[in-house]
Amino acid sequence: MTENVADKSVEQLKQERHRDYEVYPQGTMQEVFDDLADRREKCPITFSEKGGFWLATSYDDISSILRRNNRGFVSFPNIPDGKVAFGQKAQIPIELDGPIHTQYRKLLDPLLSPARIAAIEDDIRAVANDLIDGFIETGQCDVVPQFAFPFPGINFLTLMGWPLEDAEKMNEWVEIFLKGVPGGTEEETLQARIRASQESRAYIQAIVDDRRANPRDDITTTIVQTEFDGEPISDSDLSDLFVLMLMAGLDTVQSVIAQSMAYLAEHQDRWEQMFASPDSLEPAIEELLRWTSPAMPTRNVAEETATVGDMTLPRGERVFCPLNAANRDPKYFEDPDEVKFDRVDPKPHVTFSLGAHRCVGVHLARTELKVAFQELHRRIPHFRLVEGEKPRELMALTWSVDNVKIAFDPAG
Amino acid sequence: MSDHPPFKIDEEFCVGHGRCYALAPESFQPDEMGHGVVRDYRDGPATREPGVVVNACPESAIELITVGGDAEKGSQS
Ligand code: HEM
Ligand code: SF4
Repeated sequence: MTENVADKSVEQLKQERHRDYEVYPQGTMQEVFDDLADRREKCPITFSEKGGFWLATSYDDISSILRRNNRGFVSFPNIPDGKVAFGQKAQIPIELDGPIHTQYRKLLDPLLSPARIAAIEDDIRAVANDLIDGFIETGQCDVVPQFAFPFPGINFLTLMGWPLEDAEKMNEWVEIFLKGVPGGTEEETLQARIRASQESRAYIQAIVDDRRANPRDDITTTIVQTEFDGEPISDSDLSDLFVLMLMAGLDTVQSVIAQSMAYLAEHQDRWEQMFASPDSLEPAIEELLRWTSPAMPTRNVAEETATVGDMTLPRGERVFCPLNAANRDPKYFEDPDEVKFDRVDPKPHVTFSLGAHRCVGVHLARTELKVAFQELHRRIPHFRLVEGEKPRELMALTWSVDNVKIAFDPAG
Repeated sequence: MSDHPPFKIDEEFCVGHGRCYALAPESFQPDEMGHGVVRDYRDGPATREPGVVVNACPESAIELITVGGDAEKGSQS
């Protein structure tokens, strides 16, 4: 697959490198990882006619593409089949590029800086403990609904200064956005999504109106009062931004906690290892982030051409960049499918993406994970999967697991 | 102070992952955006091999300035 690539037309390359990829795969995660590994070895960038996108699988190709956002690539539409999920509008800020995106990042980065997040760490710890209080006496926990899912949602409300009582309502909308109506028809899911979208927008609009009338010392007020080039952010853009910030932080944190707890239930020696010394936790979380890697961005060639691996692709071509493929490239991670807390000065994982769209919630996410594991370990030093219960793998545009039911000695 | 590695951050590529100031707080600090800044005053000896710090930046944005003025850099591709 090497000689004279430059002489070949894109259509020729698409034919030669045709190998369909299922974005919503059946089977197990390991089967998909094996497929990705096989591609990486044989032909690291393949074309999936199904969905019409290129699939990158190596660390070097994926990191190179993501770093070139605004330098040859843009993120809109950030979905491999190119179909825009919620209407035609680009999602703010994840599908914005260029100067407007920079303006949003200049607004958001300071609001989610390490110092701002450190200031709410105690609140995050209290949220973790409240959730643990809810099940600790029963000796069992259904990890996703009782901890991993509500935890980031409540933290988001804390961060934004929104009423904590609204967590349940918010979680319901997010479930519908992300998962639709389980077992329902497509039509039922569509209707439910429209309803959830209307309700969440109305809810956010009320908050925006309130902050305009009664400004407070919170992040929401700062964002509502922001002007770009003398213009305030429109109500509809504010609503989009808040919904995206909420969604981006929920599914991902949830997935990392749920996958980690499922793994740790069966590897209790690792649970101990994470807390062996004060310095053990941080690198262990980085390794769990590498291994769980839930997000899968797509980039689009935005200039006349851009280099993708050994090819030159024209404007409009989409490249799907599953971050978990980069994170399991054996070039940088020996035994990539294994969780190893003792990797020595490992290559940085790309779980939070790279380049201009690098996760704006990275400091919040790392703090949430640190606090969650610390409090779970303090209060549940040993646990196992409930007998007969097996975690269920969920593979869509975010990878996750649910049905993580653990059992432990009930305590206080 | 002189035993500190001569780090330099390429601002064009730093997007604020924060690995540098997490790993080597004696050499780096965050600015208000969370982007890394090389500290101009150090309150302790360097604790990490410079190469380890350079490799820890996901964007390969950290360079080591060598005496001749050349920079050794992570593999920015
Ligand atoms: C472990 C948890 C998390 C993971 C793995 C994660 C992952 C990611 C990834 C991969 C991207 C970039 C996608 C792309 O390049 O197209 C991203 C962007 C983003 N994330 Fe996170 N995220 C996490 C937690 C959070 C949290 C807690 C927040 C809360 C505010 C958040 C808010 C955002 C936002 C607003 C963006 C868009 C940034 C932009 O487009 O400039 N994330 N995240
Ligand atoms: S690790 Fe790299 S990208 Fe992150 S703040 Fe430091 S220099 Fe910037």
